[in-house]
Amino acid sequence: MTSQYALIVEGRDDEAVCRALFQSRGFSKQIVYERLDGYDSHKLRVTFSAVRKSVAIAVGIILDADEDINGRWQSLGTLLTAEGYVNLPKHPDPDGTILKHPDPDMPTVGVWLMPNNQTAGKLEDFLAQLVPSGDLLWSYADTTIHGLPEQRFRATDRSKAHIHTWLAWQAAPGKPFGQAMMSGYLAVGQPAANQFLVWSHQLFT
Amino acid sequence: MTPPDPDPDTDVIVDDIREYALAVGFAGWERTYPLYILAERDGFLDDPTPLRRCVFLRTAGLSAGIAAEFWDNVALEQEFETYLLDGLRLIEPEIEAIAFVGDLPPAVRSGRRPIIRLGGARIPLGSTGEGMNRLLGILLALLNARDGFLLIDEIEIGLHYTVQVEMWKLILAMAHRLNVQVFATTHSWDCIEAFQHATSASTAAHGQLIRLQRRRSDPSQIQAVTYTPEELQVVTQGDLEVR
Repeated sequence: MTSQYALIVEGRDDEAVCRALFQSRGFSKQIVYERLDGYDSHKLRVTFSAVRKSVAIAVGIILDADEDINGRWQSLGTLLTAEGYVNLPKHPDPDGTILKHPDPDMPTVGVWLMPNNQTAGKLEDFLAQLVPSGDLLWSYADTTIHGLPEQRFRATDRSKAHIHTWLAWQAAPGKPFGQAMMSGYLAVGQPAANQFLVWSHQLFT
Repeated sequence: MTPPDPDPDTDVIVDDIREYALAVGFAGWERTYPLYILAERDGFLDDPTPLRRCVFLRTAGLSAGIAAEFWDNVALEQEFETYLLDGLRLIEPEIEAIAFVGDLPPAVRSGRRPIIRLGGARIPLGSTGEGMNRLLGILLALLNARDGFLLIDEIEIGLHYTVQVEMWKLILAMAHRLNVQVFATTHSWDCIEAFQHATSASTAAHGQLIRLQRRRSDPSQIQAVTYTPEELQVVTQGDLEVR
């Protein structure tokens, strides 16, 4: 009766990307998604605690590394230590972190910091790696953004502007991320996606 | 109901320290089971003194006879009428007065029913809405458990979801005023959601969800998992399955 697996994500886009990736590989485990609707350390702590108490086997956390990946990792470390997880590594595992709890009745926890557990960035940077290599419109979009007469978005959001611009120019313009993956605009077979899938497969065993 | 005599081979009696015993029996009827202080003086056990009231409401709820008995126990106690009417008015604000009256001469306990005065007319309490008799039963149980404990088994039985939210609000408000600690069990997800709605709206009493489950590593052991109000909100608003 109890849920077995859960994934805590920041928002709808993150959830859609996970669903599309899992579906593309025939990954059929029943996973409960909990959306934070915007990262907030308190909300994450409450959500993780509630999920950890309610889930039998494993809980994944997927967050944007944002600008300060070390700060984000420290913050997660504090949260996980408070929940009884030990031996959290100093830096995130480039292949995605997985930690068992010393108490066998507690679920295993996994952490993935977008895009690749090593650099600053966000979901959209991860998705940029799924754009087919050599795609002409991708570099054209980059050039266009570079030459804009007026800069309205923050520098840290450039990857968002880039991918949404590129998606606006596809055969069916303006698809959201999940659908773009299902339609094949974004290539789910790329190495970046592979490592994410290996991590999630290992976590949700 | 008296506690068993101490067994010299297994029981420890300590001089000058009082030991508390919770004597609760599941004998198939509703009864008040007091907590006793067992005190020893000069090598003899005193007659046990009731420490705390403890009331147990079974799944079947309050029969009319027991409701009347609960009424008899607390009628005319300090502020009894105030508490009772305040509680009922949380659900039906226009209630003016309430009484238990017999409908068969001679009036026997099981023949007594609650009636209320509403808009100047005497009407049976049950006719004011579904679940009102059950809510009265809970209120009377709370009154009987003042400063003590109230145990309610399968609390949601017989109550529609919409009434369950009002029921929880009633319990939270009156438990606070009457200083009663309430333990209730349920298997119903609707009831847990109703509890979450009521506790998030309440500032008076504290409500907590405790889930009992078997340990995965050792199914013969039962563990209790507690949820804070914020965590309960996450659980009831999402897709997590916690029953």
